[in-house]
Amino acid sequence: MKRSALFTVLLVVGCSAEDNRPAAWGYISPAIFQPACATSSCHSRQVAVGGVDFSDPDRGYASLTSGWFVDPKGTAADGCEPWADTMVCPSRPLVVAYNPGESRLVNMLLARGAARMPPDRPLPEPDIRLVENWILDGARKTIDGPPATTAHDAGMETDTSVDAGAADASRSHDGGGQ
Amino acid sequence: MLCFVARRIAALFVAVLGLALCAETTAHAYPQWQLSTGAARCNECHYAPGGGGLINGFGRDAIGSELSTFAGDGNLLHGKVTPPQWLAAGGDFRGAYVANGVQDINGPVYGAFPLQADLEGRAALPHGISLSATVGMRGQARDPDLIVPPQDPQPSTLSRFISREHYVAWQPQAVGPYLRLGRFYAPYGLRFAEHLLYIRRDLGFDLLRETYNLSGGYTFPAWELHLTLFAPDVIQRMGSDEKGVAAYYERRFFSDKLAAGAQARLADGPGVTRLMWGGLGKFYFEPLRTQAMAEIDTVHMVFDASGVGARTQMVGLLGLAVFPVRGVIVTLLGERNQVDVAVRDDAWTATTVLLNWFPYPHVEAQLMGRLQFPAGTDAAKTLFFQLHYFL
Repeated sequence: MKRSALFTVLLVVGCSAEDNRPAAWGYISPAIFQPACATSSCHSRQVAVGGVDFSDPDRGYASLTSGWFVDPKGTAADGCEPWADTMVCPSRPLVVAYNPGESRLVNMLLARGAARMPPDRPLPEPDIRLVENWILDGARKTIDGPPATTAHDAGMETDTSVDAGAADASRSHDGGGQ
Repeated sequence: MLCFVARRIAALFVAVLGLALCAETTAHAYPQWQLSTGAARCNECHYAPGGGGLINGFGRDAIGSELSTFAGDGNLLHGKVTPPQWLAAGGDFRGAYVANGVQDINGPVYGAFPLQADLEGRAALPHGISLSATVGMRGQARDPDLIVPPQDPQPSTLSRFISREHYVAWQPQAVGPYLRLGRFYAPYGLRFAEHLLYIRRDLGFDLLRETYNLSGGYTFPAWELHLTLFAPDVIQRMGSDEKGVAAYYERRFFSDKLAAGAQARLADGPGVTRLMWGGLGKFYFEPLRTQAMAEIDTVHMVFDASGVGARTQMVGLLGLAVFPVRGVIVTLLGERNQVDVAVRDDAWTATTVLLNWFPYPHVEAQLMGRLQFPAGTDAAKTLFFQLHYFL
């Protein structure tokens, strides 16, 4: 009986070296990003440092793919636009579909030419690899959804009304809808 | 321009570390003192039925005469002010210094910052009813310009004024039934003040994650039960986004030298519903003035997204607290957060040493060293020092 209980424990804790988790945003957001990044003082809904809000899957996805960030000191000369009582500025998205190497998100997770994120405890390597695999698969919001497109991919740099809409979606209370 | 950006990034980095790593709350207490001080129930020293927060007269006497290295007056403002019988008041003020290394390209980060400034009050009304609240400032050390609340229903400046706890309670006796309605942490597991411990941070009890609750239960000398219905903070949107139910039961044995607890929590949050359950144990071994503590929780996660199957996480803590001389606690902790039990290397492992010294009533100094080992990547090293004064 005791041996069987011990075997069960061993089976449950670390039974496989293989990662059979889905490389899907529907898993990555609630299991990895929300607990590790959406802490109250960082990328929470209330604080959203850098305009990045990982408090739920919709907001997190919009933050990674919108291609805009909030900078109260941004100017029109930098391509920034007023939004509500602050400024939003164009930026390369944190995630570039199919290209983890060009995705700033991955570079920050690996501290590769960028400040480490999360700054208090690096993610375990399997979690970073899962994020890379998700990006390699197109950084889709849903498993059967289309790959991520960004404002820049869509050639929207000149169409600011659409950009503003994308930024708006990333900060609406209802999120982008899944 | 680059220097300006670098300075801002550095300031942000220090601030994020300060807050993410080190901020503590008054809503939790010192589980090391349960059993070791002879006080078996948390609410022997705290007003709150589940412990934490404002300490009562018994707790103030204990800190004045037994728990500090040098005895003194533990009462409000060192006994210089005596509030009316129906009113209890207090406050917590903390400042901290942190050094942190995560193998970052910018090197280790160092910073000193204010950590907490909270005032606490409790008004006792007839029939066992009381009103309790804390008001204070969120420990915001970050450059204000870097605080951007794009989805924020209120200006970030206002969000710094917070009330971690506010509730109305009914508890006619210190032992017996109680009800509580308002904002606080639902009683669950070992309630360490150090929110960065995995059993706090990763189970829904991170800094400022207090929920709005309807809680009830019984506290008796030999056992206690706490049941809580909880909902998100819809007022400041600062706390948890989860809603659900939590339960905690604890029983004490062997003249209150051993405590065993069981806990469960069902939480429906953004993108995932988490059912967690677990147990804890504490044992105080008087001859060695040492208390052993352990907690383990299993988290079953069911995701909202289609095509994503359920997964299981395990979080555990093992610790020893030693009381070498009066007023000093040395705590050694080992932790494991197995993010997914089916993936062997998907985990954080941590070891922490805490040195708490209470030289005089109202004063605490804490030194913490913490090593975290995320599987397959660089370790995080943290050295943290804080000074704490409470009214």
